[in-house]
Amino acid sequence: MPIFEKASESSVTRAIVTQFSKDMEEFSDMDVIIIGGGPSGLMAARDLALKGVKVLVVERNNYLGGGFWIGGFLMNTITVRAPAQKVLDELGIRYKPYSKSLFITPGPLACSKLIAAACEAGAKILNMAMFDDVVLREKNRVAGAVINWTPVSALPRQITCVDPVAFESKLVIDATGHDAQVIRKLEERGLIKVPGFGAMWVEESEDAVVEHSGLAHPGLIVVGMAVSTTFGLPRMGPTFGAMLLSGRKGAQVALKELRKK
Amino acid sequence: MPSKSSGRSERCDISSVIIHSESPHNLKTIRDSVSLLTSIIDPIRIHVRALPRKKLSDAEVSTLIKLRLVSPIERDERAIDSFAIRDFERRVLIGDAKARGVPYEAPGLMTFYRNLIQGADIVSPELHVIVTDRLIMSWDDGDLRYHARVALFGVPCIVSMSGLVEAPARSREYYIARQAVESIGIKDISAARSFSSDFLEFDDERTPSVLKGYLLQCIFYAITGNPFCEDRDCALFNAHWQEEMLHAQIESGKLCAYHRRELNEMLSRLKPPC
Repeated sequence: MPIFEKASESSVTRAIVTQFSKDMEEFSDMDVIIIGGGPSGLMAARDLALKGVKVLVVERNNYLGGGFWIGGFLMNTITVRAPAQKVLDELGIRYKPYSKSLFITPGPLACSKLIAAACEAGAKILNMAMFDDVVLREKNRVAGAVINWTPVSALPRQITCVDPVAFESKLVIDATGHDAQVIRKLEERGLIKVPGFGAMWVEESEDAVVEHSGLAHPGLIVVGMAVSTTFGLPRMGPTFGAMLLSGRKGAQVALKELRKK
Repeated sequence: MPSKSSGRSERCDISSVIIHSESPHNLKTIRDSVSLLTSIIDPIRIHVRALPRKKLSDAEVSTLIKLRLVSPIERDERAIDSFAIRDFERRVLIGDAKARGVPYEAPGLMTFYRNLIQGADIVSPELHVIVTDRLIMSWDDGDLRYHARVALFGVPCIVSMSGLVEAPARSREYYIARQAVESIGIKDISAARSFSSDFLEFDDERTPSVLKGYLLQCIFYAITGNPFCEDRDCALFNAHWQEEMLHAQIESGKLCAYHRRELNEMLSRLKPPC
C-alpha cells in the first residue's frame, strides 16, 4: 500500500498556479511592501503583520534572512548586544550570554525562527523577485513598487524582454541593506540626495541606525543598513541587534503613518 | 579640547540653575546627577525640566540642518537638506528620536537653544543649562579641524551626553587595538574594548557622577567666568582623555580647596543672615 494518496501532475500544477494567482492578486494592493527580506525587513514584517497590517516582503534571493544566517566571518554565531536579546526572547530564540551585555545564538536557529515568526504573523513573501522601480503618486509620494523576477536580470537582454509588474501600497519600506535600492532609485530620479558615508563622529553606530530609522521620503520608510546609506552614518559590521530594533522602529513609524491615512 | 568657554570675565552670583533636558530619556540621569549636586551648592536651587517641545517651523528645521556637520576638516560643509533629515530633526525635538553622536556646530546651536528658552539672559540670576544628546563641535584654527566638546559655556550653557562618551579621547591602546581589529576586516569595534583602559559608555551607570562635574563647571562659568581648574583632582579639570575625566569626576569627584572656598564665599552671600 502506497504511503501517499494519489494526486495527478495536473492537479499539482493547478494547485500551485491557483494559489500563486490568488497571491499575486492580493499583492497588487497591499498596506505595506517591504523590499528586502533580511533581519530588519523580516522584523518589520512580523511586527506589522501582528497588528493586522497587510504586508508583503519582496526578496531577490530564493532564501530569506540575508546575512542573518551566519555571523561575522562565516562563523555561524550571531551576536546581539543588550537590550536586543529581549527581541530574541519574544521570538523564542534560544541564546546564551557571552558577557554581561553581549549574547550569542546560532545563526541558523535565529534566522529560521525570525522567518517563521514573520510568516506565522501573516506576512506574505515573494522571493526570487527584484525591486525594479517605485510607483509614484501626487507630489512624488511613494505608493508602491515595480517588481520583476530575479533571473530576468541575470539573462541577456535579447532573450529576456520581460516587463515587470507594479504593486501598489500605502507605504514602502526599504530594507535592502547598504545598497539602499529604493533610496538610490529616488536619487536616480533626482528626488532626493544621498550623503556619503562618514557624516558622524560616533564610533558605534548601532544606536544611530535605530534612531534614524523612519521616514526618508513621503511614503517611504528606511530600516536596517539602508539607514546608514540614507543618512551617511558609518558602515557597520554584523550588528544584528541594531537590525532587529531598526525593523521594529520602522514598523512603529509605519503604523503611525497608516493611522494618518 | 573637550570643553569650550566663551571667556566671560564679569562675576555674577546665581540663585538658581535651570537644567533643560532636550531628550525625555535623559531626565532620570539628570535628576540622579542633581541629587548629588544639591548638597554641594545649597542654597542655589536646581530645577530640572524638559526643553519646550514644539513643532519646528520649516525655517527652524533649516537652521538646525545648517548646523549639522559632515566632515571634521571641512569647515563649511553641511548636511544635505533632505526630507529624511528634516523628519529626523523634528522627531528629536518632540522626543521621538535620539541625536546621539550627530555633530552640530557649537555657536549656532547655542543661539538655537537660546531662542527656544526665551528669557535666558546673561545678567540673569538664573543659570540655564541645556543637556542634549547632540554632539557639539567647535572649530579650532590651530589645527584647522572641528573638535567634539563635552560642554559649551555661554547663554545657555550646553552639556552633551554624546560628548561625555565621544569627546575626551580613549586610551592610545584602545585606538591601536581598534586599528588592529579593523585591519583584518572586522567592523565590530567592540572587540577593541577588552584591550583598553576604562572609558565612559552611553547609559553608563557612572554618568550621573560625571555629569555632576560638568554641571559644576557651568556654575563656575556663571559665577566667575572661568569653568576650569588646572588641578587634575578637581571636578573642574578640563579633561582631554577619558582616563582624566573618570579620575576627576569619579575617583576624586570633588572640588579642589581653592574652588571649594570660592564656591562657599558665593553661597554665603546668598544665605540670609541669621
